[in-house]
Amino acid sequence: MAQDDPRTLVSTEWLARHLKDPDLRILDASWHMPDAGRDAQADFDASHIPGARFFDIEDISDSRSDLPHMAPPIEKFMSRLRALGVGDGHQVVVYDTAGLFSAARVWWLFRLMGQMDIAVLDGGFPKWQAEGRETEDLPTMIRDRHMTVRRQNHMVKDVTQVAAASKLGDYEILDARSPTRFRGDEPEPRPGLRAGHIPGSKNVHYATLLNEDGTMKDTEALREVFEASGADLSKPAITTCGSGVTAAILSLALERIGKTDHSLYDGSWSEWGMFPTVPVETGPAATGDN
Amino acid sequence: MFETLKEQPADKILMLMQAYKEDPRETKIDLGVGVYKDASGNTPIMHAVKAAEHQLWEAEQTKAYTGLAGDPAFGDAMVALVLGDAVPRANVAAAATPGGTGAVRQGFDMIRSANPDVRVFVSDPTWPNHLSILKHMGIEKVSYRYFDDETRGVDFDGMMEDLAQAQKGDVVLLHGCCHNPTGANLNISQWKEVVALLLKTGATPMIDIAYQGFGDGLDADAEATRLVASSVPECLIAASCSKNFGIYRERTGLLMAVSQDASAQKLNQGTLNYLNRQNFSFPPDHGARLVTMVLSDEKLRADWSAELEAVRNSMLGLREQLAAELQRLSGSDRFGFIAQHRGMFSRLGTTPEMVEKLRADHGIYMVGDSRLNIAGLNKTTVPILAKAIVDVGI
Repeated sequence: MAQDDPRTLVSTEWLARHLKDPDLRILDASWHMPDAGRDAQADFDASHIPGARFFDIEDISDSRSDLPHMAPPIEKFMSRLRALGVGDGHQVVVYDTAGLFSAARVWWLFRLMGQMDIAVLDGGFPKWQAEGRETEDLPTMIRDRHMTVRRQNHMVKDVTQVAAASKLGDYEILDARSPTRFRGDEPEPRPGLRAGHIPGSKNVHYATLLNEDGTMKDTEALREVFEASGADLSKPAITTCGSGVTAAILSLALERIGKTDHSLYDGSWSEWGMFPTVPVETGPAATGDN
Repeated sequence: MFETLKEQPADKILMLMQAYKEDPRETKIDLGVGVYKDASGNTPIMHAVKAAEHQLWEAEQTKAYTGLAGDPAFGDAMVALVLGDAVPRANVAAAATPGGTGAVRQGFDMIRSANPDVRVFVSDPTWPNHLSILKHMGIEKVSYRYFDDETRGVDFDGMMEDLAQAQKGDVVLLHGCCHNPTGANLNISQWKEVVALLLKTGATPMIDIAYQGFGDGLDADAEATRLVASSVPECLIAASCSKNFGIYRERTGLLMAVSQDASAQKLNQGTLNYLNRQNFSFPPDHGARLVTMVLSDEKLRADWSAELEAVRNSMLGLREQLAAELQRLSGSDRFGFIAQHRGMFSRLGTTPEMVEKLRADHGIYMVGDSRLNIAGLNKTTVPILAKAIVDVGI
């Protein structure tokens, strides 16, 4: 059982205990792959943890970018969160209906915007439901709350920075996609993308960080998973995946093991895989110096 | 047989130099050719260069050939100056060339060897010699929008729209800093957008960096070049030592080909050596040796960078003085761009008729596209120029 930490991960017991706290806010950040055929908003409307508000990852994003759900401009983040009634002085808990899939993305987004008091609900909605805890289908009464946003630019990397890191090897690039996608054995779910991975990156499939019930492994086990990938944890880390969602699970796990010098490549494979000339590696991760 | 030759158009800038020489007026001002001049109108030899030359005269024992790519120490020193630690040295192929022009020419030759159907995208406007060399070599050029005649800044949206047309196998020619002839430059976040677009289209960038140290400082001026080199899979960089070392007639430049790994570097280096061999065998060495000495000797380097910094600051001072004087005389802020521009040049953005009027009525010589060489001014001539600009009604 992972230890409760209101800045990274909290248990369902912790949430149940704090459910009535006046300054607690709960977000349902469920999001599914485009081909999953699920409607996260409809699921939310049908059932959610009491008081939860729906955080729409597709909507609260940068609408000017062609890439999927890139981090929004700060003004948009502020106004959307104000409308959700989440702001300064709130402790936020974020969950999704998969267990742990997209909630970590919102955890990361809050930190990118300089809001640190947010934790992911360990095990998410499935665990909450399995434990027979209270749910509701009512819309939540919302009162505006101002949020002060200070974007922490060091937490996000763009393609120029990742390309440089890939060349220089001064960062450890960690890819959360499945081993078959990482190796390039399986076609990408998004059309028009090449198969393979960023040269020099290491594969840490996000699912390997989770227990069978969807909760996150304890810190010792997490550290073992990272080390088994061949990653050199003395280097600062850049997390990446298909579109910047599951990469945030890696970011969360890194934070859990006390490795705080991590950033996320927001464009991820949706961007890298689209470029015709950038180098792409296939097969298992290269070992040793590169 | 030579009667079949066509007469070549005279180089406009060099013609302008001649006309200036022949003008008897004492108040005449030469703002034409891109040569740095100090306050008394001279183009001095920099102290550190002179000192290196003295040492070299004493120490040099042979004038035997160097390597086809020039002295390797020159390559190392210049790669470090331009690229810093943006890319591993093992990924960079480099060859000394006769000046920055030679680097550009050899670069185009390499591009054409790799892809005979290459199109080179050039900014509108660009250094006229870029266009003339491309034309001479029979390489197709495509212009991209660059200068905004209204704001006298960069037409960034137009530029991005046009560069989106470039494809894999095309080359995009960019000025690393101090855009010639306009003086208008991208900021670093715009450079990042350009890099992302290059990655998206797969076009290969080629950077011409002829004025490192003339804009915002040695490292600041190389920032965009380093960003590009570290981000894209491969690129070419043509660097000149003419301006920042003041060794114009020594013809000292370096062409760099940055690749993704050391095996591609080997191929590139072989090509650079081969192309040097075909065109002139060995590059000039004297200027290159001076540059190497200045860059690798701590004292000479400190002396050189201090003098370069003084040159840079004097040009910035002249820009500010000219912009302020024009503001005073015209009662408007429309000349504020002169202080925003960087490098040796600013494009006034006026008509050839106005440029001719300045020459005829005021003895002020600038290139017909209204490019003025800031370094051709001094504290005394700035008010004369400002008054003339306002008098002719620009």
